[in-house]
Amino acid sequence: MDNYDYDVIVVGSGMSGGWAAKEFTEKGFKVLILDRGLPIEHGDYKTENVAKWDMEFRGQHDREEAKREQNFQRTSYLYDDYTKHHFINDRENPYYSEEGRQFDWFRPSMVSGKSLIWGRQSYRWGEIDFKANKKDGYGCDWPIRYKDLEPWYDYVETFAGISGDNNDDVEILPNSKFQPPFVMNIVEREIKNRVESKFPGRNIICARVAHLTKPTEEQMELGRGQCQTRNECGRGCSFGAYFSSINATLPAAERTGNMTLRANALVQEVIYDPQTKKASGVRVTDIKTNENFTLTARVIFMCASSMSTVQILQNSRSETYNTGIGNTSGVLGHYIMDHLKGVEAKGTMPGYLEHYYKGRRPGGIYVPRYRNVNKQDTDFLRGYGFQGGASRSGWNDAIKREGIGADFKNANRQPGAWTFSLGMRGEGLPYFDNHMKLSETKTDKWGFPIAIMSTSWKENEWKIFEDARNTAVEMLEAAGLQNVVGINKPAPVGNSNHEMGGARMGLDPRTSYLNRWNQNHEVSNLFVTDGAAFASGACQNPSLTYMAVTARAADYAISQLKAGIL
Amino acid sequence: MEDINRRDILTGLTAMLGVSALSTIHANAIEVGFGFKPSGKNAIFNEQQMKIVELIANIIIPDTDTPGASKAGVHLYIDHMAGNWMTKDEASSLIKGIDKINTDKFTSLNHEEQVVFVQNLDDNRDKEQTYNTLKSYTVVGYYTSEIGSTLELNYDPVPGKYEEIPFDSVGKVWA
Repeated sequence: MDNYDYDVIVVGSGMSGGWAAKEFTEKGFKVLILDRGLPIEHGDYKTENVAKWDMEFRGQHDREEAKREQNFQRTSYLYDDYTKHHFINDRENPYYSEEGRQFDWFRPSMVSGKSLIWGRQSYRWGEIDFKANKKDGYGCDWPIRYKDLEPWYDYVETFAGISGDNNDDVEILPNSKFQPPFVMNIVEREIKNRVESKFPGRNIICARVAHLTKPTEEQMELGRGQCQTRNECGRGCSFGAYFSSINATLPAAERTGNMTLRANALVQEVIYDPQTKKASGVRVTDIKTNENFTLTARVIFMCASSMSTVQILQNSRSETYNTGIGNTSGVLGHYIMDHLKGVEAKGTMPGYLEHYYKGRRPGGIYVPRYRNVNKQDTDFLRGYGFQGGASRSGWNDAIKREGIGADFKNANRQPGAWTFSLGMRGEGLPYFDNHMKLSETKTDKWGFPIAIMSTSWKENEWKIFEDARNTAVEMLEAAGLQNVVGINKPAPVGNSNHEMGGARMGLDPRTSYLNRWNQNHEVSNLFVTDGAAFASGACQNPSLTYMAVTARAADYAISQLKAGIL
Repeated sequence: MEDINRRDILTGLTAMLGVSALSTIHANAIEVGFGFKPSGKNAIFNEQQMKIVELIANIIIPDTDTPGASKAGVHLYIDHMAGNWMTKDEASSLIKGIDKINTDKFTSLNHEEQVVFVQNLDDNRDKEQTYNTLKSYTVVGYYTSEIGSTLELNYDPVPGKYEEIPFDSVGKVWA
């Protein structure tokens, strides 16, 4: 290894970092993976299998404690007494948003990052997504196309395990390498038939989720097993049934003997060496011991999660690069994106009361984007999709139910009517104006400058919200649902947990931070392969694409290392 | 076939996690009949208040072919929530409301009169804040208790896989 501590340093051990670690170690390279989260081992899930009656507040979190310690994280849909320890402490890890430009930033507390608590919905991005910026002029053109990623989608899906339906035939949403789908229930099938016959071009398909339904030999060798449909994923899953770095990529890297993982390791900056014009390593603070140290490597992979990656890079200042390493273009920290969320529609399906189900599926249905696909058919750019499903309510209905006594108790044994709901995820355009910077005066207790976020939705996004609400209601009504309600409560940028951008890929070094291999245009051994690298956001959940992009970039870096170029 | 697979999975899980997980997963089979085990931490109700809460909860959810709210320890759960989870304002307004119920000599009524009394509160629950609170906590406390989950409802901690079934084949909602 010459004078380096490691061949590769990977910053972040989550969705992207796990893949980088796996790819490099399996090819024989010595990898150090650093994560600012607390250490955790697969299976070390303290609330898993704990029944509600054994939780102090039956699963509800202590509101006073949450306000004090996790005042923002507590607003996550996933946050409760079972999952709270998987979220970061806001008091110790503050960030700011500029007045009127709120950015919601959900952050994990553990090694494996958000891959421990993610939503697990997994959809490829298609040709239309990688061509979008070029077509309408927002953002810079992606330096890659679908065909560049296609084999890498195949590769990561086969390892990770994605359930879905091979019969899907949606032009803009390529199928993955699927394991069998979680089936639609009868109400979903009926709604699918009605919507698809009344709205040509709109499809309702099985949700595609990163859950094992028919584990492969490779997955079983890693100790992973079939999904048991408990739907308690955010607590951690000893079955390793949903993909997480903690149960899949990190164990794969570990068994090579080439991985060193260090938890509690807050990377503060990437160090630039003006002699070699490369990154020489990273400066790290151990958040438990406050020890500061520097580690060196031939290649640095930034996989710290989009905003944290940008925060570290902006803090990597030198005489050469006074706004962040490799940032001659000036785009570092700009073009931050997220998915539009907060529009929902729901309604009641009459009948089907003799039908029920067993098990708690990790996903129901998905409605792929249908706006502006083959032609511009709205007054806004790009589009949106919906996640949703049909189910019957349970005992919670009793809270509002009238009555007392045996009749009341018996009524509570009956499930409610079938309800069907849709929740939109829309594409936010990349804007220079949506940005982050570092506080010049304030740091956290480890001396790391606090991030100041500044983001807002603009005209195109407001039109998408409105249209999504209207078409969701229109579909539910056409499907014969009753009491249809449309909810239009747009969430702030960041709220969908799909934050992207800030260090975008592009063809032109003057307007982008990374090249087509996720490699900095100037500092050739510095790679960014998490969501920060993305030039646009599509409307599909991004994690699967983080995986594919990371595996592809690692493969390139490996070829460069072997050729002696890096 | 499927049952065998599921048993294997449970066995595997138990081996992985140790004995404590077994008692949770097999709660349905071996640990029925338990009430709420209060820690006693910050208990807040006096004897009279506890009695009223227990009576009302057990009228809302009585013993039938399964045990009701009292046996599930719902009153102890509400006491625990009042003393440890509610804000001071929420807890003191609940306690005031419970005391007010007692000024109406609730505890001195016979059972049938108490049922009529609670039925009247339920009929007017839009106006009866204390009763509304007690009813909500009774429902949550009961259906998240071991008795409510495993005896009254269908408790299925490890379903195995998602499948459509006729409602009649289970006859009750999932816990």
